[in-house]
Amino acid sequence: MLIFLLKILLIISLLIYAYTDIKSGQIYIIPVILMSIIFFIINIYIGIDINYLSYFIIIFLLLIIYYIAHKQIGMGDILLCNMIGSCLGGLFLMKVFIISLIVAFIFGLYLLIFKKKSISTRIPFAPFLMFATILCVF
Amino acid sequence: MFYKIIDKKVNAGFTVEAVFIIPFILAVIFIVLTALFYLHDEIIVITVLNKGVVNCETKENIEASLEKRLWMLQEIDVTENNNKLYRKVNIYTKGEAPLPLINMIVDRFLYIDKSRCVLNIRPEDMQKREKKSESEKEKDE
Repeated sequence: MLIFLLKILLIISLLIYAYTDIKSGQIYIIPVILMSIIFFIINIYIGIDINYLSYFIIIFLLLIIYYIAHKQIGMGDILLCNMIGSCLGGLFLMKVFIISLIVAFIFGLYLLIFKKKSISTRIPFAPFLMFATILCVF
Repeated sequence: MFYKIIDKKVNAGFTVEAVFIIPFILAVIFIVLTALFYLHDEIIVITVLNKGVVNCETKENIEASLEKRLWMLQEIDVTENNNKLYRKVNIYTKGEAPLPLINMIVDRFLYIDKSRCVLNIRPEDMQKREKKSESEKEKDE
């Protein structure tokens, strides 16, 4: 029951972040960090197995990509991934991230084929993360 | 002051270019990492098996040392077969790498199945036994 409530809380918070991301292309830092700390504490209390290895691998890879090509991805996405990982574990984060990348890939192809946007324009990634989380949770 | 701290924002979003490039980079990295973990576990299984068989370690000891050292393959099944002549140990480990789409290239369920057989008696004794059995056969004839 508590895990289900945790998942619902995660989806609601992702909905809010997706909305702010679509609206302004930016995400508030402090609420995301606070939420990830809260999720982490609840996880320790419940005893969910956070697969630390896969969790740190993804965050580390994203940070490397961010520092190599920091104009390509935003720090907000890394913070959101951190929040999802601290909520439901590293393996879940891995699944969510891969699915969201696949969906974003298809969306990017659609944008390019129908010439809606150019290749260097920025698209919000939080909605894809939210969609993938909903897909993985249910 | 408090409002300023709360109001801090960061960019969130991928460029369309990154959306195309990053999945391929990550897929390659995940495949390489999975292969590395698998190889690590395979080497651990082989060393533990060899040590366990030669030093006559118990099944529980082998399982405990595997549980400590394996990274990816978590299901461990050790079977041993002790005879007067030989001692045979078989280690079967199984693990899961649930990576959507990447599982088309790398199997979702990975396993290692290794066995090692060691003679329980010295080679000289083995020769004596063989000679004995041959002489007995000759006598029977």
